[in-house]
Amino acid sequence: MTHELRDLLARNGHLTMLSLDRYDTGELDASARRFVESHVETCDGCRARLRVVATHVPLVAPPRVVGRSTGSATIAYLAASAGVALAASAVLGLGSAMWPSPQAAREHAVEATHSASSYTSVAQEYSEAPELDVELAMRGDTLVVTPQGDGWLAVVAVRDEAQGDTDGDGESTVVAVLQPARATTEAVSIAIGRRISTQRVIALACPGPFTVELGEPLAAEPGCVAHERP
Amino acid sequence: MHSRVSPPGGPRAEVARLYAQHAARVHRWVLRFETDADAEEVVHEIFVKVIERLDGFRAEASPTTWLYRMTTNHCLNRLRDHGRRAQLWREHADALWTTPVPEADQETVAFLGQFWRGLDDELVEAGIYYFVDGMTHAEIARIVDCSERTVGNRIERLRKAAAAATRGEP
Repeated sequence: MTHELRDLLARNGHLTMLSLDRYDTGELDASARRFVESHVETCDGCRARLRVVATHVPLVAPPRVVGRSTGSATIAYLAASAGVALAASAVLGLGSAMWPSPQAAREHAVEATHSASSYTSVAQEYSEAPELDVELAMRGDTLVVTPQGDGWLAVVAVRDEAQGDTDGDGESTVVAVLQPARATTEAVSIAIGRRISTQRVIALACPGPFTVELGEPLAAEPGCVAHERP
Repeated sequence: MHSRVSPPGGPRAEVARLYAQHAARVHRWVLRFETDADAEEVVHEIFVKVIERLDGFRAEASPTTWLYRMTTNHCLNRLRDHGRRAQLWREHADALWTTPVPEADQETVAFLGQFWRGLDDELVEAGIYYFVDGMTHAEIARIVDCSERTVGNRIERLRKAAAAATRGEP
């Protein structure tokens, strides 16, 4: 084990919270991601903590936003852009140019854990979301995922639970998060290791924030597109 | 490592996106130090700092680490300003330990709790990463951008300060 990998662990042998957060944001390189996934597969505690870390994204929960910032004019000034960029109609619907409350986001995230879907999108709340698409291409052992349009992107490996399903409507379970959901307009390169090479790899693009969770089924959401690795 | 995305729309849109991507995460980190009632305001304070230091944020290889450190220091400064470091440990020591490092030594928490208030900021920060997060010297060195030896020295100073305090030394 290299120093870099060893330092993902706390001194008690578990992944540090920061390591889990860096995994969740997609900052770790391929070997570190594999290391985290390998540890999580065998450690119930870290798997539970990763679920907590990964259940955070739906910050824009417009109809449910009830909290308001008590912050400065700077926040109010920036909030206008936040509203426009993320969920203009919803935020402005409150009659105030305030940032969405992180507390509301947390509450919304809790609700998301009860969703039947492994990824809970707020995409359907974007009334005029631009058309999205995503292209996948293999270059050697590297998968290059190129989003078309402005949105959020995630890449996952899935395992089919239903035998003989060929139309994509059957249930597939997320077995690895290769690229956690994040806002991006640029291509993402993902090294496909031996363990993943036999799995179905799917790229998801949505107009707004969403989450993907290990061990949960992958289901279609309105406004999102999903393409499989060639 | 993936390159960081600079989304279209200029700095304002970028901050909006950073907020959307990280605010809930920062909120979770803040809750280690603050009550639920104050956490939201603290998150906003932190993002105001992000706005002020956006160029530094863009330059970071690990924006999450940068944000984590900013959050930790902001919360520690807040606690110091309010004279509440000792209170933090009294009230949240269990949570601080059990959440990130379940097997942590409760005795150490109590030990630190008595002497936390009078320590230098750099020792307090190192103490959080070492005793609360359970990080290795190397990882702490990466976060605070210093040598492992410096980290080791700070931890040692922290231990000595605590030991001296238990003996009633100033």
